[in-house]
Amino acid sequence: MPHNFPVPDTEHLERLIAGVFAALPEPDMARLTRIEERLSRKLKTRRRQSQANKLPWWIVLLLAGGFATAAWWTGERWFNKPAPIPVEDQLKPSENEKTMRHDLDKPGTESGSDKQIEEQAATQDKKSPVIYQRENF
Amino acid sequence: MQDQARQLLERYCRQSDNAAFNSFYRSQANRLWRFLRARGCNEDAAYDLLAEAFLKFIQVVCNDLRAPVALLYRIAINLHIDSYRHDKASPIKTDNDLVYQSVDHSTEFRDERDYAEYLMKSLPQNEQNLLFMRYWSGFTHKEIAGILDMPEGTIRRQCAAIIKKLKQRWQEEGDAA
Repeated sequence: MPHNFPVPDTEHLERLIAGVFAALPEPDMARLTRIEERLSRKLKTRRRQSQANKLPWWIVLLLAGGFATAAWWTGERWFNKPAPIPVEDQLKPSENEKTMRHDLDKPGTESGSDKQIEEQAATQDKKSPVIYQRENF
Repeated sequence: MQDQARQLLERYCRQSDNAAFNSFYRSQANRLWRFLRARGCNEDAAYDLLAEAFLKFIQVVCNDLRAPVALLYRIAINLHIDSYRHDKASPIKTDNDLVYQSVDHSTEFRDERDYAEYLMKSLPQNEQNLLFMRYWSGFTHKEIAGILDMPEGTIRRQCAAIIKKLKQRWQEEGDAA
């Protein structure tokens, strides 16, 4: 379409383009306000929904914690561990240790406990109903 | 524009400030409606798409607050494409004529703006959208790239090419006179 307008520079053309769009018909503000009201209602509903949606997560968290505790407690009872040895018992010397110490003792320095054992053995022999027994070689 | 919009939406998302969202709506609704009209929506469809775009926007905006206006326009464009496809498949014909096409230029142009409007009407839809977003909505090339999901360099090149094309046509038709 022929015309008589001089060719605009880039800046002027950009302003003309903006002017064309600015001349587009304006929206009806009443309709935009109605949409805004609808959105406001939706926002309120959405907040309530999001709050409600958060609740089950807490319940799930509590339940999971409860189950974990119950499982741990049941496991403890099911696989009953041997009672731990008290520290005092662990510090006492064992039977082998006693024997070894006895072997290391010098002759003539017998401990009181060994004498008692011998006396007990002698008493048991005396109480025995067997008076005489032929030895088998 | 983006910064102000982001601040309002941060208030909405973090403090549940509905008034901040309403301010954001008022700052964007008018432009978005005009954008939809410029894309070829009829008046009622533009209102419907605007409402639907904001409803969808509410659902996703708090997930990513980096470029909320770009997100809003992307949603609106996608909805418009969907509605266009739906209308095309529907046996009922709707009035989807461009706003500009109602302008009659059979006589002569009143002024430069009138002629610029005539030239812009002859551009394809995607080029008109680019001009709208760049020179009227005031988006940067980067923001438009975010809206249209294209590289920033491509947008920059396309904008320059459209301006060059318009100037070329202006020159050619002026010479013909």
